[in-house]
Amino acid sequence: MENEPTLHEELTLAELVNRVLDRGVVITGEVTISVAGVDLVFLGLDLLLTSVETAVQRKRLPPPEGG
Amino acid sequence: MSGAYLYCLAPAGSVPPAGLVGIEDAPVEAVAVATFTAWYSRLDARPEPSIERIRRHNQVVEVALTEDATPVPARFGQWFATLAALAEKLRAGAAAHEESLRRVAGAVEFGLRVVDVEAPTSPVPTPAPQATTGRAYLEALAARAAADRSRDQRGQEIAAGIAAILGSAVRQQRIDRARSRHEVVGIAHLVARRDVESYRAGVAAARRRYPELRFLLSGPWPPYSFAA
Repeated sequence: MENEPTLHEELTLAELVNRVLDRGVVITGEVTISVAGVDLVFLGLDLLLTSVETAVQRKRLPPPEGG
Repeated sequence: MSGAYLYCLAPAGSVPPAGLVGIEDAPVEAVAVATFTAWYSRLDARPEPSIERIRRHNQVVEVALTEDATPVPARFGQWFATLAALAEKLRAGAAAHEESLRRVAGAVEFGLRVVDVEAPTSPVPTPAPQATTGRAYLEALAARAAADRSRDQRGQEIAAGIAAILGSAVRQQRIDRARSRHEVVGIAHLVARRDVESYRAGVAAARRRYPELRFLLSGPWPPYSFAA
């Protein structure tokens, strides 16, 4: 159970990054933001994907003793 | 002369509260354009992305989201050399922005990711480097494409099943393809504020309908996924 808040925060952050970088109205015509040549939209998606997989792995962990 | 960084568009009369600051602690201001207002900060340059700045951007948009007003969030990174340039761009697209504000009025967004914890962990075979024939390579490619189609179809079916359960609690939805082996489908729902409780009850019912799946629900968010 100790991990749950962390997982929740992780997923929320991933959802936030995905939305702010990849959604929302674009006024300028095109917005491509990158760090070291990597499109941040893809980094945001990677974060999301990693969080989903983390959620899956934690779901697979055995329940805590006495829980 | 400083430039202008855009956070969101809001209904006419919606202005930032006194003292609100955004990226780089810059005060948030509003400019009226056509029938709406644009919330912005004066920044000398386009802000470099960081988690902190992404959070600040969203915090400003969330302040604009009230019981009486729903903003159209802007995507991160939209900076203009002058405030006049920002206003001119907004005026040029005013009709579309007004339509977006009407679409999201009185609503919030929820995100629903449907995950199959028991999905096979071994990936569909990719064409092996040691594949000695072109035929073996093409067969591996075909198997992978078939698996992708099958997953997409399952995602669409489950999204349709969830939509049937949620019914009129959802004003609009946006479906994203699954991006990992365990994700079945990602769905953004636009939900009227008055329907939030029935939406949550609907998600609980959908969980019972698909006990083999895990539902990761996030929100309420400003309606980023329905901004355009």
